[in-house]
Amino acid sequence: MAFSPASLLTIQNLHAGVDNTPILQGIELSIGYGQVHAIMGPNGSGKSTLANLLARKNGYEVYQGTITYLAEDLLSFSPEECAWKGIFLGFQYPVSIPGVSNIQFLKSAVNATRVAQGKPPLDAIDFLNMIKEKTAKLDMPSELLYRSLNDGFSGGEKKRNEILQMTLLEPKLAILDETDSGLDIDALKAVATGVNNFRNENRSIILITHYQRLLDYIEPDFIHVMVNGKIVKSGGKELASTLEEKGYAWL
Amino acid sequence: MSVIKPLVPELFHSAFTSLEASLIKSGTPSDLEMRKQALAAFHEVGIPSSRLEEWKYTNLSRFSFDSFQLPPKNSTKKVHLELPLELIKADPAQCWHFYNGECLQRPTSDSFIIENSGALLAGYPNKRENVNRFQLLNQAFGHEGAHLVLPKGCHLEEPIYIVHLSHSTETPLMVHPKNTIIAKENSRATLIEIYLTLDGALTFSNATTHIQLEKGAHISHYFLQRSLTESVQISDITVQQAASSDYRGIAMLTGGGANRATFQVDLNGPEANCHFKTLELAEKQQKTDIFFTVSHHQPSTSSNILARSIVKDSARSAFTGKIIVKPGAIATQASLENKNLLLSPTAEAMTRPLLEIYADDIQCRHGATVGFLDEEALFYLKSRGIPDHEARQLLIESFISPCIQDIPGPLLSLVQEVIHGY
Amino acid sequence: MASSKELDQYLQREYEAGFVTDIESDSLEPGLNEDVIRTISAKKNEPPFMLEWRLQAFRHWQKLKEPHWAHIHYDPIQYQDIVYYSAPKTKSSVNSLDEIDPELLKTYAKLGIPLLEQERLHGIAIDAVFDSVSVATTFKEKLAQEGIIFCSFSEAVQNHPELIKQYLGTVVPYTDNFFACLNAAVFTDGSFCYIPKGVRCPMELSTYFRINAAATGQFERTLIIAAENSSVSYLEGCTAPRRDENQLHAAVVELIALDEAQIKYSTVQNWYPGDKDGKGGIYNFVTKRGLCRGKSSKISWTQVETGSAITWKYPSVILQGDNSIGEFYSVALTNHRQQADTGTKMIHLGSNTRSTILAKGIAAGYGSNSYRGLVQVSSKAHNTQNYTQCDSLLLGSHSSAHTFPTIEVKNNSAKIEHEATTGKISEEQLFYCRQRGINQEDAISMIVNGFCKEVLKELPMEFAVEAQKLLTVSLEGAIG
Repeated sequence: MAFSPASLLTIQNLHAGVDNTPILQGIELSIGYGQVHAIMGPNGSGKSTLANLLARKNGYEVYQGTITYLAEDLLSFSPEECAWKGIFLGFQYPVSIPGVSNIQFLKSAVNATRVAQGKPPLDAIDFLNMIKEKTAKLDMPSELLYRSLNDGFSGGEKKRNEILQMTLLEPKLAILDETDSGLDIDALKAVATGVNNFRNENRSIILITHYQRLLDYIEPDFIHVMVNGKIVKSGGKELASTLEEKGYAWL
Repeated sequence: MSVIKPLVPELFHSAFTSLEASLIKSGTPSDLEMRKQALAAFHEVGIPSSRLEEWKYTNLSRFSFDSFQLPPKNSTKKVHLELPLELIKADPAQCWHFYNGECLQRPTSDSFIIENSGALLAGYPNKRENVNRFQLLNQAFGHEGAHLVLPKGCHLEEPIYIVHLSHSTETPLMVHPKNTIIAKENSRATLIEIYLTLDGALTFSNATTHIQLEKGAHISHYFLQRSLTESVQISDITVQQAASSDYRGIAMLTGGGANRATFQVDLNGPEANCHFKTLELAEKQQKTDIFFTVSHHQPSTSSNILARSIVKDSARSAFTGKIIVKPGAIATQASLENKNLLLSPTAEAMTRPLLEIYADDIQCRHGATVGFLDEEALFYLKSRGIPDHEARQLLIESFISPCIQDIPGPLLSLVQEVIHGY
Repeated sequence: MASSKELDQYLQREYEAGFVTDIESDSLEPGLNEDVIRTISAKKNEPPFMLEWRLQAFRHWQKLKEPHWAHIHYDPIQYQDIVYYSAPKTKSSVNSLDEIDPELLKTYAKLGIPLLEQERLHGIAIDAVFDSVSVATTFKEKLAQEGIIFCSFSEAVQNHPELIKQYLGTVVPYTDNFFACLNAAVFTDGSFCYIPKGVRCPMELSTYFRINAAATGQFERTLIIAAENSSVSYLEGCTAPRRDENQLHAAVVELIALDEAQIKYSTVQNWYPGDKDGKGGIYNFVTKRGLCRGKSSKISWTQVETGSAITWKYPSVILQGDNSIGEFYSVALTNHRQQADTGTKMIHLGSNTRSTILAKGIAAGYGSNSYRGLVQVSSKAHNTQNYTQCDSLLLGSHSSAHTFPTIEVKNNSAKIEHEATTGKISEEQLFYCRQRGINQEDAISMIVNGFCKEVLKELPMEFAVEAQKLLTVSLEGAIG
């Protein structure tokens, strides 16, 4: 892969694992500004490991390699520093936090990030106005804002909530881990619309997906296929339909 | 152990004297000294009063323990023996039958090793933190029991039966059965342990069972303690589990005047699991009491206790389930559920689900309910033409079905016979 | 944000900043005997029946032995070393808040303590600052219009002896337990409240407004009576970390609700918890009991306990009247070396009674947190309903949390449900918050507050906000 000095994220020869078990076996990837990269692959190929590692989740060991984000060493960040510097992870299985209302959580997150970025925190009224507008765009009932975070949310509601958070936090790099899994067609469309509306030349997205269905709605610039912890094939958006026809075994 | 004045400082003195005499006479006084010491230790603490938390719901003060005598030797009662055998349909090759402390039938199977005593236990560290007073009494008066070793890797298809019958005709008698089961590495067996007090005069049965599971051993344990007369039945079961061992089963208590079982399970190695169910059925003036403690000493252990009780007339059931998670026993999962059904206005249920947690990376939960038959469900069944009594039976059966679903066939019919009375 | 260490240092400085200088001249020698009790009663100018009650209690106390429970460990209390009577503090050596350490003021501000309360804490309010007197006066007038009596216990003994005689000790007799007995003999002051028939007390009564309040005594006695069809909400306590030179606090609170009456009693307690090694700190042994004497009466206890070295309290409700309701909502937090053994007893005697218990325990540091509860349904208590939920959250590997509920049911029409869980904050929850830019400390605080939400929402508004802040401050340094 050619490395562009102006790229947002550069991963070089990344070897990493958990509990002394290697999972990523030499990942090479470069994400430019405003690009949408899809990462596909069979279960167990290490896609979620890569996503969680980029968000600096505890418990992963890096044996070799570097990750550069905005010319800094990403491996030196804590999870919240990643967030403040504009990395967002849309979780595959968003966890629930009982007793903490959705809106309270969102406001804390937005303001914590704003303050870290040197911006003034939003007061209650401004925040409420902003959030009402965004929930409407995502076709989310506003009563979801007042329920405990993800507590008793359906699969579709959880995923929409993840996208809502993404639009509120305005990251530079959004990593969406199987955002489409478990969604019916309406939820999928709403999520896709949210993501597409979010795209611009300054924001990059890594879409991790198992099926190519999502890519019908969110057109990627690049597709990479991960198998056994390595990227075995990269290409343009046509790669999706080839995979659909021939399956992963073809690789 | 707090010191309570013994009821009678010289309790069981005469019984012990005659035991001593008969041991010397038959030429087997080797453990006499140990027995003496055990009785002396018992005298220091005596019969527990219900002011002690552990014995709060087993009221023993109304029984005069000084009236109990050891059964006379060599009283053959073949007649009584056949009755339960028919019900149980046990394979004699894997059966122990005791009657009033005398062994009338010994197993002949070569799938496991039969020992004469529990002396083998000496090879295992004693993890039990508090010695039960009745264990001391059992050490003093313990008679023949079932002692067996399951060899490494053996898998027994047929269950092993240990049946202790007690029966007083005129004189109140006491029996002190002792059993030891050592399951060597990766052995598997099913154990059916029955204490049955037959109809007659007041009887006192005080049993101690020790089960040792080595690495990877699996024991399924079906324990039944039933009395057809006024009696005191007390059992103390200690279970020590090594890594990756599995202990599961069901304990059922029914009948009698005071019917009590104390279980102490220690999970001493990672991946050890305990899945146990208990069932108490009490009617008339009966009082049942189960005290079940599971201690998680090592990480990655799990326990799951499911307890049910059905109480009618003026009876009382009591259940105490104690989950202890020791420091360092992380990744423990423990759950306890106790449900109690009261079928009459004077029935009583006492429940204490207790948690003592010293490690943080764990998941523990317990739940308890006390209630009555669901009126809505009853109405539903009756509206479909099912008569009242049958409808109640159906609901009772559904209430205890999670408990009895794994009971092996022969024992199940015995259990169902009891349940039908409710 | 201040760390626990810094807070400790402020407390030290507060103590050194000088309290009442003339306290020695008007207090008794340490020790407890009948003369001490007579002196206490005489100094308070009590009528003879009060002295007699105290003496009976004292004689009974001498026969009792201090109780000991498996899960609390403390150095033995030397009862003969305690001073049982000190003159009320009349003058503080500080004239205005300007003289107080600004760091301490910052802490108060963080906790949202109102200025007036800050002044009161330093004894300034007592010094006849015009505003506070007029506020207190206006308040008293408003209550008097409704016929509500709200005054110190000592005043009540003087002005309403017939009410005291009728109700004192009817819910917690001096024979009840060791500490209640001691309290009955030597109690110094407390609150008295009487709400007449049909009156809904128009405002929350709080210890903030207790007139002529002496420094809160070691042995407080509170009695609240709500007559038929009345209601009152009472707030006790303070979120400010309060030091007291007295280590032992043995308070008694009695609540009586007659037909259709309701009493809501909320406590936020943050007594000095001792240092990181468990030295010093207050032993808080409290007997609190409510009697739902009347039909359809209701008593709710809500508490947030974050202070004290040792907390031992079981606010209970006796549900005597048919259709009566008892509630217990509690958050108990232990950090460093604190020990809390708290819970409730719901005694169901009448028919169609209901009780709800919601207890949340948070154990951090080397703290030990136990819930001890009793739900008892007597044989005549028809159609009882109880729901209990106790959850424990363990923060760190050195803390411990225990749950010891006992359920005794003697009536088969009862419906009892009990559930308890113990666990820790999951890594997933923490990572989720951090990935959204919320740092670890804030994340833990948010999750803990969420854990306690169901309880906190039972507190009156201002108290709830203060309590939330208090939880956050108390958790500092707890992550590990």
